[in-house]
Amino acid sequence: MPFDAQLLIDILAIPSGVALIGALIALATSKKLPTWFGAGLTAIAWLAGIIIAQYKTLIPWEWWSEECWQRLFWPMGVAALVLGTSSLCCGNANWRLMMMSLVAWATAWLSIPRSSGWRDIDSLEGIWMLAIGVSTLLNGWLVERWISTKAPRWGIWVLIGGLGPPLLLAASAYGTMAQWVVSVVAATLGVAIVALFSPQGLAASIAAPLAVVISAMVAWGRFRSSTPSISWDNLPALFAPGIIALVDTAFAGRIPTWARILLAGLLSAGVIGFLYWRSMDGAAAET
Amino acid sequence: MIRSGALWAVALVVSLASSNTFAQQPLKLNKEKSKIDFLGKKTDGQHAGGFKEFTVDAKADFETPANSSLQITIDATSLWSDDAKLTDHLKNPDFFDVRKYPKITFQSTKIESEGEGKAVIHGKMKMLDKEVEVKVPCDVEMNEDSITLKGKWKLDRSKFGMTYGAGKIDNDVEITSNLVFGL
Repeated sequence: MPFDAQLLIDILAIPSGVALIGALIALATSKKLPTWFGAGLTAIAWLAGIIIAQYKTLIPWEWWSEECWQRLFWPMGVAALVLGTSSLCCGNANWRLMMMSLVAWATAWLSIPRSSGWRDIDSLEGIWMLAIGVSTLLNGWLVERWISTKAPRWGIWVLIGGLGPPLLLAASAYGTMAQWVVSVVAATLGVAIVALFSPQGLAASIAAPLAVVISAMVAWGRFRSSTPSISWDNLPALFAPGIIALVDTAFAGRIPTWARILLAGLLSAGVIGFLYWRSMDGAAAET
Repeated sequence: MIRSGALWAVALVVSLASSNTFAQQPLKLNKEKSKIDFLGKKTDGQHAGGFKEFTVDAKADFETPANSSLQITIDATSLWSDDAKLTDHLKNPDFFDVRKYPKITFQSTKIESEGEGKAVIHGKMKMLDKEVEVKVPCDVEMNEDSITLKGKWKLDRSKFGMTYGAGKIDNDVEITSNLVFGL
């Protein structure tokens, strides 16, 4: 099989398929088993899809890699399990918001490269962590509020759309990191497909916090470029889910659903376009 | 490394051509005329690149060529390629991981003559914190004011743990070096 075809299977088909099957089983058993069990099963399937993709593309595979971003599936797994199940068994939105922010923040902190070769960016660590904390809190608050009051069935797809900007950033980073991010988004899409059939159920409840967590984490990942310059143009990627939710909240009830979908898509595309334009501008300058 | 072979060949040639006796004479690298390049191949194309910054500590013993030595230190952060995005990718952990491993070194261990104007330099190459024994065939060219060591050989990147794209990107990378020393 050609290398590219194998890669697409490994980073797209496998994670989305595994996550989708897990979420489907959770949905099918939701009337017979406790809701926390279904949410947990969905989270585990989501994580399993990502780990399998990583296992197939990273050579050699390590459970605790020397490369810190390759260890991120551990805090991501904790995030998925804690946030997914707590949203159903512990309905306190404020508590969940705090947990979501803490997990995203800790995950970002864990992903910071710390070998001696990165000393030149040490001084930026504090302000980056502040940006992560602020964006996660804001995204979490806006998305939670939006889901609980305004979100229609397609709402989950807007959250996925919010992943577009950080996905672009990570994809422009370097090979294995980009492949990893694509597999994370593919697994999230698998859950989101099931969420369409159960918008208020367990699948939606786990996908929403995950979208926020991933957004913060992946945007952070882009800072790991080997070129010594840091672009603050990347910051909009951190706030993309919150921006989309905020704008949608303002227009909810005043414009038809199709217009809200279009607006969310345009916002996401706008941030992506801005990042792409800045990226190309930087590449031209480098050349 | 290529140069080390060439350097040694030079030493051999010089030792045969001259009756002068020297003990480990240091050779001065002409940086402007010297270069270390590579060519990576993949199933659907190839890319050229190299390193802009490197230092060479070469000592030629014209009396006993086997005592000559060559040490090369490459600044991995000076890596360049024919594509700006590729350059960034090559500097990242998938390939050279220059933030973590900013230096690539070669230290000769043995130099063998392969006939007039030719030599093979054996040495230890350290990259990505892994040390690998390598053998570099070199051509040696001499004129009145310079010695040039030309090497062209293949390096198996997988021996250093550089495995990204295995199956699509060739493990063997073609290295071309041209080291010019003033006399």
